[in-house]
Order: sequence, then structure tokens, then C-alpha cells
Amino acid sequence: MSRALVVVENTGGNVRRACLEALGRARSLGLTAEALVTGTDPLAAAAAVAPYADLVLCAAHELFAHGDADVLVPLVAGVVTERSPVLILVPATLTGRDLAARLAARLGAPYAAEVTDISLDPSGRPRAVRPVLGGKALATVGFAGDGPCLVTVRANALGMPAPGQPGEIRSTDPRVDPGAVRTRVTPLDEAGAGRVPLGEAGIVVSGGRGLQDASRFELLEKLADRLGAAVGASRAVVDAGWKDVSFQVGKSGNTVAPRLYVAFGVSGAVHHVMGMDGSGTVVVVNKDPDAPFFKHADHGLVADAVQVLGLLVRRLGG
Amino acid sequence: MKICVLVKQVPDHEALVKVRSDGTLDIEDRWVTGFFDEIALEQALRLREALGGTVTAVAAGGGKQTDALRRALAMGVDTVVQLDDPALILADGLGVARALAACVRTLAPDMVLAGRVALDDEMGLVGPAVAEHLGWPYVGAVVALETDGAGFSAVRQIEGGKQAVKGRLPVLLTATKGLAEPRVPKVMAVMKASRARIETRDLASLGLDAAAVAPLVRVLSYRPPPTRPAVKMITGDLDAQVETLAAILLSASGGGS
Ligand SMILES: Cc1cc2nc3c(=O)[nH]c(=O)nc-3n(C[C@H](O)[C@H](O)[C@H](O)COP(=O)(O)OP(=O)(O)OC[C@H]3O[C@@H](n4cnc5c(N)ncnc54)[C@H](O)[C@@H]3O)c2cc1C
Ligand SMILES: Nc1ncnc2c1ncn2[C@@H]1O[C@H](COP(=O)(O)O)[C@@H](O)[C@H]1O
Repeated sequence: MSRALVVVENTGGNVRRACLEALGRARSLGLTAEALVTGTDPLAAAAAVAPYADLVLCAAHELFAHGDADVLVPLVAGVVTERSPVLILVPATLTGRDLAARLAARLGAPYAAEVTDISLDPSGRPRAVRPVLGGKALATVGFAGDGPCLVTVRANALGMPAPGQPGEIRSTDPRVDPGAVRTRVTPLDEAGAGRVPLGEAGIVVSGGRGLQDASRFELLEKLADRLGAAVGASRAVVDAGWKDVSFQVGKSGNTVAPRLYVAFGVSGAVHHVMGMDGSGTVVVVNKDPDAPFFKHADHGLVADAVQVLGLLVRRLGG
Repeated sequence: MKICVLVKQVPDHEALVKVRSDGTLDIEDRWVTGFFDEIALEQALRLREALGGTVTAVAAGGGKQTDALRRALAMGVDTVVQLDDPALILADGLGVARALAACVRTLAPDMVLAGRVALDDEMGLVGPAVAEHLGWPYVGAVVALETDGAGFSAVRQIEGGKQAVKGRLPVLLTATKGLAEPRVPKVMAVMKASRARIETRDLASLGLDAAAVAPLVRVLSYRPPPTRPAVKMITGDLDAQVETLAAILLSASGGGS
């Protein structure tokens, strides 16, 4: 049977959702789902992945601590040679996308970024669908040659598989050459520590300039906690210094596709909508009945966003 | 210090995009220089202002790519190079990266800056792929950068946080929002740039042939994104509205109570 290799990204034992979704899709395409888990001590992550995989390869090394591509690229390239997968899947996080791009160049492998669907053509060759031009069109792409194809997969796009019988966990040579490491990486304050990362959250609650004041984001955070959501922001909010740029949703910020997106006091400018139009249910609260965002929403409420937020948090016991 | 900036002209964010019935795209003829590429240009110009040296902008492709280079000139770069070759018309990001890497090698800069992602194909491939071809260290999605001409210290964005990255030059970095606010060129500078002669190079001059940039990824067809049904407005007095809203959120979030 042909194989797929999923390069797992994990932080402190927490596995990126997109990795499990990628393993699920590999299996449903009839491919053997193999995972590569790395870290200083990757066993917890490997155990979390095993119920979704047929085989988990585990590579342990100090230098895997910060996801440094200088050591990950040679490792993945080595594993690809050994396992010869037809498809390599990497989560479409910032780190995952950089890793995949460097791998594509290193392996000379065809690569499609941020795919939202994957299938096999009649000859068994992978095909992928990816949004382009800010989601204004969906491209179906094919891959040349017969070597491994590389994709990064967007979270919440492929569907979450059900866990099954855990696959075998096998340790693999980390293939680390400390001389290959050219940069020194240190983690800085984790702005969103403890909260679901924006890019993979199943629910996002966003605030715009209509919240009128940075302090109103505390209410939004309460709502987020109550719903298990991540907090997003419009660019106007970021430019005003109310929120760090890592919170920005939109064309020049993060692209998100949660199953529920709720916007408070966001106008719905095209640049913002481009970053979230792939979401499931969209709910918009804006005091202006002509706000453009209502054209991109499933449910709309014309009201004062601050007032609604306050009542909502109280109603939900936040 | 010698810096190269990779720039690309892309359809304006507000350009109308239509998918034709044969699965091809019809994009309105409105163009801008890459959003993140302008940030990269700004950062390069600031480093030149602080440390001296030169900034060279490089674009691969014909036609509209000239405009990206004219924009770079208007912003203040010293020189520009356009890689123009019929083989590049069909090239994908990997091919473009191979051509750009070959060109950068001839320019021998201390630093290359690119955009995090070009907002047309949205691949985020070319920057890291050029670094890989050059065999250089790479830092993606940079929001702060310092250098003394020998080493560098950068802050990069990662999912849900930031990392500090230190190393030695040469290095390739990609710029993201927050690194620098691009200057708006003066009218005189725009006029002067519009008349500037743009140096072009073909693949052969870089020791490459068409096979080196042959595309590996091909778009089979485009389709429009799914459309959303018309919005349902929540009505009633404020309490009733909040009640309905809460019910919608709880049911769509999959949570109970
Ligand atoms: C190249 C480029 C890239 C961009 N990228 C992005 C991006 O990635 N993300 C992004 O978000 N933007 C982006 N923008 C900016 C975008 O065009 C808008 O300017 C921005 O999204 C507006 O933010 P806002 O809706 O919060 O603010 P505003 O436009 O000021 O809108 C505020 C909204 O709140 C409503 N409001 C006011 N008071 C209340 C109240 N009390 N209760 C309820 N509603 C209220 C108003 O009716 C209005 O609709 C980009 C722009 C450009 C040119
Ligand atoms: N044809 C090109 N010429 C010059 N630079 C490019 C070209 N294509 C991409 N780049 C650079 O690579 C970045 C990422 O592009 P992409 O991989 O297409 O998303 C852009 O922001 C540019 O800095």
C-alpha cells in the first residue's frame, strides 16, 4: 500500500489539530498513515498521535526543541528516502509552511501550500485544492513526476478523524548534525499561551474598532474562554495598538477557517473577510445595518457590540 | 552592507476575480507591489540609512514585474534587476526560486529580504526556497530585525507566540506585518522611476536553462468559492436578541448549556 507521511508539529505534548486531520485524510484515501514526531522528549506527543496513525516514527533530540528547520529538513528528507511516501503532509502553521518550503527546495518535490482538500486521481497521484487570491477562487492543483508530493494542510479543513487502535511507535535516528544549526532560537513571551492558537481554533471571536476601547477586549476574552475560542482582531485594532499583530485576522494577518466565527464591531472590509470567509457559521454584531460584513454572515445582529458582549458574557456565565 | 530585496507585482487586493465557465480565471487589470515586499523594501532602506551600503531589488518575470521594480526605485533602492525569460512565464515558485537564487549569487549580498507570502498564489514558498538553494540560514515572518553588518538578531512570529533568532550574515529573512511601515514615495521619485532604464537578465546569463525552471505544480482548474446564503437577522428586543445569539453560539460551538 502507498504511504503518506505526516510531519507532526507539537508544543509541550499538544499536537496540532491539522496533523491529526491529515492522518485521517491519508487513511480515508487508502494510504498507510505514518507520522513523524520530533522533540526533546516526544513520547507524549507520539502517544497522542498513535490512535490516528498506522506507524509513529519518533525522533528525540535536544535540538528539536524549537522546531528549527536546520535540523528538521535533513531529518524529514532522510525519513522520506527511507519510507518513500507518495504524499508528505505538514500542518500549515508559520513554522510548518517554512519547513515545507525548504523541504520542497531540498527534495525538488512539487509543493502546494495551505490546501483545504486532497484526493487521488484515477492513477493514484495526489491532487489538492487550495484557495488563492484571498479566497476569491479555489485552485485544483496536480503534481508533476512520480516522486513524493508535498502539501501543507490548513486546520479545520479536512475533518477530524475518530481515534482507533493505536499504531506502532518506533524510534528513529534523529539524523542531527549539530554543525548544520546556524541560528540560535529562544522562545519569547507566549502572547497567547494557554489559549487555543488562532490558526487552528474551532471557534474565533473577533473584535473591531467598534469595540471602541482596548479594555473591551477583556470582555471578548471572557466570551472566548466561555466558548473555548481564540480571540481575533481587525487590522484597525492592531494599528491602534489595542492588540498585537499576531491576533490580526485578514489578508495581511492570519487566515482562519473555524466552524464558528463571531465578529463584534468589525466592518467587514474585503481585507478582513479574505482571512475568514472559509469559516463555517459566521455571526456578525454591528450597529450599522449597512455594514459590509452582513453580506458575508449567516446571522446578523444590529446592536451596540459592547452592550451585547456584556449581556452575552453574563448570560453564558463567563 | 549589501542587501537584495525580492519583489513581485501582484493583482490588487480589490481587483475583481471571476472564474470563467471553462475553469480559468479572469482577474481585473489592477496591480500593486506585494504587501510584504514593500515592508521588506522599507526594512532594507532603513538598514542602508543606518549602516550604509546598497539595496538592490530583484524581480523574476516579464510584463508587470517592471512595475514592482519601478516602485522599489521610487521608494529609494539603488539598483534593480529584472529576470526576464520566456521560460519563466510557466515557472512555479520552485522554478522562480531557483532563478532568483542564481541571480542573488551573482550579486553576492550580505542579506536577502523577501515577503512572507505573495498575496496572489499565496504560497510563501519563494523566500525559504531561495535560502535553501543558496545554502543560507533562513528566518521567516520577521517582525523585528537588528544587524551590525556581521551578525543579526531577529524576532519572528510563530503560531501563538514569538521567537528570538540570532545568527551571522549572510541570511535570508522574510518580512511580515509589524517589521516596518513602508514609506510612500514622493511624486518626483515616482516620475523619475517611471523613466528609469531597467536592467534585464535572461536565464542563460545565469547558467540556467528552461528545464531548470520547469513547473512541478500545475493548476488543473479554478472554481469559485462556495457562496453563503443570505444573512438571517436576529430580531426582537435586546434581551431576546441576546438570548437568540447565545443559542446560536452554543449550538454552532457544539457546547452544551
Ligand atoms: C493592503 C491592505 C491589507 C489589509 N489587511 C487587513 C487585514 O489583514 N485584516 C483587517 O482586518 N483589515 C485589513 N485591512 C484594513 C481593512 O481595509 C479595514 O480598514 C479594517 O479591517 C477595518 O477595521 P474595523 O472594521 O475594525 O474598523 P472600522 O472600519 O473603523 O469599522 C468599525 C465598525 O464597527 C462598527 N461600530 C462602531 N461602533 C460600534 C458599536 N458601538 N457597536 C457595534 N458596531 C460598532 C461600525 O459600524 C463599523 O462597521 C487591510 C487594508 C489594506 C489596504
Ligand atoms: N517572481 C518573483 N520575483 C521576485 N520575487 C518573488 C517572486 N515571486 C515571489 N517572490 C518573493 O517571494 C515572496 C513569497 O512569494 P510566494 O512564494 O509566491 O508566496 C514574495 O513576497 C517575494 O518577496
